[in-house]
Amino acid sequence: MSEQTETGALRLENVTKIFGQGSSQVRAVDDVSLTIQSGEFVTLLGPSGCGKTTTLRLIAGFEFPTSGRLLLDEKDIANVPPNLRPMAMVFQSYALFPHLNVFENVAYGLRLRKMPEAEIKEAVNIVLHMMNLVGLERRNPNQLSGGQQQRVALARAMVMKPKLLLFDEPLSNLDAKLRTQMRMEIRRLQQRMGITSVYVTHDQMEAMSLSDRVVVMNRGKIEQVGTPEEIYQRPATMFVADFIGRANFVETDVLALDGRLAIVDVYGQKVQLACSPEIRVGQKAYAMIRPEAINLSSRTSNYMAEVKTAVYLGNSVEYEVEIEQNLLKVVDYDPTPGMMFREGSFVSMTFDPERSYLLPK
Amino acid sequence: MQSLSLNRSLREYRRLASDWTLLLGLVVVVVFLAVAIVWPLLKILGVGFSADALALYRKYFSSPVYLRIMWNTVELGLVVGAVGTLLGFLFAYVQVRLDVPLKKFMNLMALLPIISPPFAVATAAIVLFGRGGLITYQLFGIRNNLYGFRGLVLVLSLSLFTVAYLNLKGMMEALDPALDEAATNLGANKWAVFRTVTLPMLIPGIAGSFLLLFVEAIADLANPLVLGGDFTVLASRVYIAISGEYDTLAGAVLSLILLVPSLTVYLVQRYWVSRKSFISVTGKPSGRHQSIRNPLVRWGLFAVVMLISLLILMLYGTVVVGAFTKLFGINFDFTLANFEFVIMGLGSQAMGDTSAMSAISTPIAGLLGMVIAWLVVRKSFAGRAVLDFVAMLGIAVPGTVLGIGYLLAFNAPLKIGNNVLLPALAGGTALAGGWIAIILAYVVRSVPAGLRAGVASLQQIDPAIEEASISLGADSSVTFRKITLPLIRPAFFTGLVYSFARAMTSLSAVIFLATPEAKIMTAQILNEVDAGRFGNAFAYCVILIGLVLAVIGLLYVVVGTSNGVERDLGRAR
Ligand SMILES: Nc1ncnc2c1ncn2[C@@H]1O[C@H](COP(=O)(O)OP(=O)(O)OP(=O)(O)O)[C@@H](O)[C@H]1O
Ligand SMILES: [Mg+2]
Repeated sequence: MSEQTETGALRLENVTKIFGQGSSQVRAVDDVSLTIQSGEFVTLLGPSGCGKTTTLRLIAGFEFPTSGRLLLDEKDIANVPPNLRPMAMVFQSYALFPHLNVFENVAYGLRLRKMPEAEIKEAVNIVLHMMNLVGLERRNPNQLSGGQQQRVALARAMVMKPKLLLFDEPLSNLDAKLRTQMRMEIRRLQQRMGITSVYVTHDQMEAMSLSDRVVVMNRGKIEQVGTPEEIYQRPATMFVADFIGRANFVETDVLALDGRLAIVDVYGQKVQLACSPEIRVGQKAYAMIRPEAINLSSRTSNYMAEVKTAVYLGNSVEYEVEIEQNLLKVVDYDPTPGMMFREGSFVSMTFDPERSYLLPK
Repeated sequence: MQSLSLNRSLREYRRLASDWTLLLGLVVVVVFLAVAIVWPLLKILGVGFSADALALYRKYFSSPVYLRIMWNTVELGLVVGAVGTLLGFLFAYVQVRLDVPLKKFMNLMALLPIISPPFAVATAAIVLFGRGGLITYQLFGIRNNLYGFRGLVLVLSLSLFTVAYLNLKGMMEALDPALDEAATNLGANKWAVFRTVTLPMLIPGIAGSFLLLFVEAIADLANPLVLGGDFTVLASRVYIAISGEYDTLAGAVLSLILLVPSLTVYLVQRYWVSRKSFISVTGKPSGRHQSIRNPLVRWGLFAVVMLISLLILMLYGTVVVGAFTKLFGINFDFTLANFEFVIMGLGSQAMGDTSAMSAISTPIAGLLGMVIAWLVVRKSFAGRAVLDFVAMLGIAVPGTVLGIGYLLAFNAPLKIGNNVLLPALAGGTALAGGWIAIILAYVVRSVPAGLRAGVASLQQIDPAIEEASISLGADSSVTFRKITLPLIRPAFFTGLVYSFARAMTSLSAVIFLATPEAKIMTAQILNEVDAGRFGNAFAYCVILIGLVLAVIGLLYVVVGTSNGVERDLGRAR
């Protein structure tokens, strides 16, 4: 077990995958380079069709890269067929074998390894115990609930003690509550076993809560790699800022620069903002302001805005306010009871520069 | 408890009755099934369990000759079941899993038997591979004896494997490729994936195909008649009893003996094996399967399937060439005399009669199939499982058995006291020259195909669509006509195509029912083959195939869309 935590480092070097030929070519994965440390939990996040599944299938060996290299523990695995790669995958559809019961599903891979029967029994029972599946051994997959099927799929992968766990949107067929629960279970297991994991999702909540690092993809390319905090607070591009949570973008002029701090002009006021390394003095840039970083009050201040819409959501209130012909999204996560601003009223606005970020145009 | 459930079914019927068109449909269906299936079968049972009959059973089950015949029947069923399923599996596997050229051609060759008349393959096989066969004798100098078990296995397997092919192809397409990938990911190589995932998942399909082929093989009459030689099976023995010995009692008793394995195996297939299936064939392929790349497997399978396809092509080619030659194998001079005989001469009445009767039965069978499917899937009433089962008997009961049932039931008028309830429908004195009984038999044999296709198709249509129509003010019959029927049009089309082809090519169920006013083409072909006039037989076959193709084309234009026809046909069996 302990030796497994040392291995399972994966590196993708300029990996490209092109489907089809001629005019119908699709660059599903476009020059992707990525290093995943041993034991790390990395999520591939991005909109539909951005190449997440393809990347995962390239790693698993179900697709072959058009160009580029894949290295597992510094060894090129191009010529290793998928059945010999020390990886286990959890499929979106679970792909449980319908003709085998729960026990046999989990034992499947071990049987192929010709493991002695007694050891198989023991290993399977341990995993079933771990996954809370005791008592369901003799059931067929179609006699299980969605959550149980999901856990069997996970158990079937875990029991192989793989160097790398691959997940393709494993929770997307579950309802919201179960999803949260399974998410925590997966994270707990992964940390306990220390298995390097690559997890594909288009759900940013899932990505943020599970991962050590998130890889944001768009159109086959990597937009940013970073910890959940980094990609939320210091997004590399407008795409990332917009895709992770919600964001307002305010066009500004960069007045001065001090290391990674910039002085900019936001609606006529000078403000100091953390900024991306690509920012240059004299250029136009965008101040990214998160909706929850904006504060509305009835006192007067430098910024006055008109409330266009106000939506009460129980634990929060969402506004859209207009300032200098721009619509800004605002979220008040701690609304004072009975103190909601009316649509059409004028309010004063402040925002927290610490929670905002400057992006190049 | 009992009164409660009785109450409930009464309420269900009252609800059905409140929609009078629905009630009418139900009544028509029930009356039809009662007259055309239940009544003839009851007649056979009546005769088959009479006091005279019991003595016959004792005789048959202690006579080595008859025990031999029974064993022959079972043996033929088992071997054809196995060989046909294997052929179907190979063809399907190549079609779904291999990336090889000429797949369309192989698919076509596998589907050809659907429209092929009986005797076509058997006769072609005789002139190619028989004692004086073009290939066996003239090419290799072998005096091959094709008559008997081996010849029957060859011809029956090639004629029947389409069922297995369509069945297994549908299943293979519906297999989720993610399962293969999951197995691969867990360490299985290609062979292990096939052995531990693909094959076990297909076992119910394989077993089902085997059983269906068994039923069809033991029910077949045409091939044992011309190819059997000394190898007698129950179906041909029944035929001899009726047509040669005029012994209806023996015929009925032997039919019942044949009915037992047919019905048992059919029931096992339908209510047990098909329940075990892991795969639901939805009609939509579920994703891309990785094709097999191992060249040995790929080209090995390709070669085998290609060779069999070429064999089929050669057999049908022989039919066509033989139709235009004086004496196939001996005198290859071109001639139109064979066609003259069929079209202008003695054959023309049979051609006309059979086409007309098939044309009448086709829409009836097609509509009945859809209506029964709709009642079975959409309406809840006690006894709908029985309705479905009885309608399927048309295919589960061997044709010879049904034919004898018709003889017994319809040769004399049905009377209560002195009142004629139903005039004679079959035989020399029958109403409308015996057409009615033959048409009824055609319909009965054809309904199951449309019914299964319709059921499969309806199960995939959200009932809410029909409910929407009802809530917008349409009654059941309008909803059926305007919404349901258009939605299941591909299944309806399948039912029609199949009905026509089945009617035109059927022999066993109607051979006893032919009269001078109702001549049947297949029976005429039998005469020609028996008399050794193969040229005429071939010409009949060519015309029959031509007619079936022409009508399919016509149906295609009128009813439209052939979408999923083959798949529906596969399910229909
Ligand atoms: N086998 C294939 N042949 C051709 N194009 C493909 C194939 N597989 C994927 N693509 C294309 O590659 C692109 C990336 O697909 P991919 O499945 O990796 O997306 P994804 O990020 O997983 O999306 P989703 O969130 O919808 O699952 C898409 O444009 C897709 O249409
Ligand atoms: Mg995907």
